[in-house]
Amino acid sequence: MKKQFLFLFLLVVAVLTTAAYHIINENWVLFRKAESHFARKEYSEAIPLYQNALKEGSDKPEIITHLAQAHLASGNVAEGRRLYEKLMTEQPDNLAAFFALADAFSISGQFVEAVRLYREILKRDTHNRIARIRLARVLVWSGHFHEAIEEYKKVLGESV
Amino acid sequence: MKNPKDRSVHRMVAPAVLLISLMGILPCGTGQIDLSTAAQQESRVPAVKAPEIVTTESKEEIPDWLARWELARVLSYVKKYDESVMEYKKLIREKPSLVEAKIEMANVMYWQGKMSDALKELEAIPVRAMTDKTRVLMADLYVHQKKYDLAESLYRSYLDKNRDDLKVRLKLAETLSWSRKYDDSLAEYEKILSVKPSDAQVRRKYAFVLIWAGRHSDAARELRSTLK
Repeated sequence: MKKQFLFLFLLVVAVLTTAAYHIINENWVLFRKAESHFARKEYSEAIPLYQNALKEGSDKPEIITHLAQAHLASGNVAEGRRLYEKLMTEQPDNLAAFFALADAFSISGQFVEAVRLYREILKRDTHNRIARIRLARVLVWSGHFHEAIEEYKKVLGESV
Repeated sequence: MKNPKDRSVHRMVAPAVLLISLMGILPCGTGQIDLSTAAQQESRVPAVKAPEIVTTESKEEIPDWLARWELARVLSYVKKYDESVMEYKKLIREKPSLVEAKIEMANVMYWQGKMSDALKELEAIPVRAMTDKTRVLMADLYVHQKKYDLAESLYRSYLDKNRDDLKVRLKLAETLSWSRKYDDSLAEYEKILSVKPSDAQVRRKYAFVLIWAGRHSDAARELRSTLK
């Protein structure tokens, strides 16, 4: 009888705790669900969940970053760009946001914008090797070979 | 050995523990983590992989040798051939198994007009590692050195796979004529002219081979037809 009571007690505790957790931490639950979809590259499922998490009051940079990435990956470049620009304004030291948007611009062939952002990263972090190589690549793709050569030489520590 | 009483307690408690774990109470599920500690948690577990649109190359993924390769290529685009070859040589010293880089360097040497150097590089590459395009380049270099038989063999092996490439067939036809294999050369010209009968330049070259083969009246007829 005692064992049955213990089992029932634990069951009730489990149900109540889970229910309470979902009510109290709704935005966290939404975020985790969105993250699961995001990890499986189910961006159209992840986007509304991230948006709900934002509506529920959470403005964590992780949510905005992943929402922006999900928008970019599903082809909503304008919305992805808007979110990244918001993030970059609010957190000018968040280089990941600059990188992500610069990459998105270079992939979509907006080389001028991509070059501007990679240069912004290099202003903040002169020794950022990855930014310099990506800048060099975008310069090649946009036909600015001489500038690209300068950047590659800087990466390799050769005199320009 | 556990007594039967203990085992029955385990039988009772185990499903409850499992159920509770599944519902997110025990810290084996992600639902346990408070939002404020999410960042800390994520720094410990592998981050969610970014979608393909966001490149995630780490420092290790763009090594110096790759940057040097890209530099060597760009230098060749702006015709800085000496510098390009210098970078290719540094790259190959670091990565001697990069056959593709050796072929590219040979190409740059060819554009530089350094035919012997280019050929030397290509001859060091195993034939099976060569692309069709490389075989044509090597054949062109043999032609430049008047090694027509070697060139012929490479052009033919290329044309076996690329029958419709008339530019290379024309190279073969010319090479055969220079090695005085007029009948073979004329046969190749005829194949080209059957596809492009109105190509006056090819027909004139064909006419010259007819002359060299002693078929003057045929040559006259062909030349006349290009003047109409």
